Amino acid sequence: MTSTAISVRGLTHTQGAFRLDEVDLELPTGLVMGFVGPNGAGKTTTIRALLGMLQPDAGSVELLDGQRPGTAAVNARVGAVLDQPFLSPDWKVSSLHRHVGRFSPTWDDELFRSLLDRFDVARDSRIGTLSRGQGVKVSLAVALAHHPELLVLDEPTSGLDPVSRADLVDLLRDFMVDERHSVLFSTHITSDLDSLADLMLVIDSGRIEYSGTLDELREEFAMVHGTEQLSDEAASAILGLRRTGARFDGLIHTASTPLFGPTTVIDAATTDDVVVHLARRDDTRLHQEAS
Amino acid sequence: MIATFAGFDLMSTTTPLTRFLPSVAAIVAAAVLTPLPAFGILAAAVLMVLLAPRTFANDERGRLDTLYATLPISRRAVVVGRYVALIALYLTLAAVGTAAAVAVTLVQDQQVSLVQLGLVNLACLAFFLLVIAVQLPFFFAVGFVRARPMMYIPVIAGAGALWLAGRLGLQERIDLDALTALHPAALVALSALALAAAVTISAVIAARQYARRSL
Repeated sequence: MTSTAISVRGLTHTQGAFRLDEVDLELPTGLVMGFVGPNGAGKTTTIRALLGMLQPDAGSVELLDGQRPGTAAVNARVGAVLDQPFLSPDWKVSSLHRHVGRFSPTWDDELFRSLLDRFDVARDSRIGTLSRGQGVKVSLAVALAHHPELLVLDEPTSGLDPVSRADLVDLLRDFMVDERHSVLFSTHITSDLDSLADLMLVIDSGRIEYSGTLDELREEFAMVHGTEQLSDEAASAILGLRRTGARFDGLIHTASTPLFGPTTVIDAATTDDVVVHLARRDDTRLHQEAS
Repeated sequence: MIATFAGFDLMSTTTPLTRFLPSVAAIVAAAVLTPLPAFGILAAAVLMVLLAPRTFANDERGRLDTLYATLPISRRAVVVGRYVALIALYLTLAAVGTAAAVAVTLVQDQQVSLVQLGLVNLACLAFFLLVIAVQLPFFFAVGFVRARPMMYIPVIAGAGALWLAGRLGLQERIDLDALTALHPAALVALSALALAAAVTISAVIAARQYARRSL
């Protein structure tokens, strides 16, 4: 039987006007899943639910082969880096083993120090004086220092320069050498996922829009550009249709390709194309309904 | 894990020392500068009532509730650990106040009244425990910012109740003879039992509230 790092079924959570709507997510052990979507799509809420930080209205969340999230036993096997650092600004980097490491019997101070050196973080700095990028690096070092089996990363690269981002991706590759390890990696910078992610999860407005492999994502969607008059059927097949004068472009499911004439250019879609046009699709719908 | 969290919380509350030592200095100053050296013990209680909510303010400032949620520690251990840490810190500061009171009394060449020191310590401990028993479930339920009024409400409500009791002459109707008729050891034991029950009930409520809270 294949073991499962994360299993989410029908996760529903309402917070003010936002609703996470029956989210399903399955991450087999040994794989990296990219989790993408625009701001406010529900990535962070999903991640907080699967770390046991909020009580969902409905649905189930299981980590590491059927265990309830947020328990001490599960947290000992999970490392998390969230969108904002969660360490006291008064603490020194060098004292984190005393503040955080004391809770984990598997804390590896040598690994922690070597990660700080690799990230070029000064150990005598206080957390409050670190830049956002350095804060993320320290958080990552803390997450890795107790030898987790599952890493959950929420926008870890958003404050990092390209060199640090590449280094982080290398680090995750090293982490994934062990086949018992898994990573859920939420990011806006989809290029970070190109060489790393095995699976992709696209979320928009609290709903999962795509779940599958990165290759399947590229096969599933295509970009169309053209100037011809679109039939109603063709126009409705375009997700996030944008018109500029006589020109149009948008995202289609590749199965819709026969709807378009020979003058329409059809290109491979990038992950960014998929995220952007799925998010824009709702705006287009509203615009069409209004007109 | 409760002891581990209590140790962590004590370290976080007392560091940096430059922020904590003024509290110790204030207790010593209260013993030295006021007419009654035992005021140092009262100062420790008042300071701790103000310091307890500050631990929750520090949690929000460093997003430490999120940290606790990712550590291999249960939410129940966080709650109980904080009660333990705050009580340990109070006992330390009360010991400083007591030592200062004894030192000042000896310097003034007066007789140290152990009974008086014991009664003041008992009254201050009761005051501190009752206040945190009321405050802490609110802070665990909704965090520092939303529960901020609870910093003052228990003290104001307590003072108000005492004032009202005085105005209504209730103290004259209380049969103090019944209390004094009790053996001092029985009185202390009864008080300790009542306080332990109050703190335990408070911790149970706080743990349930914190377990339900979205972080």
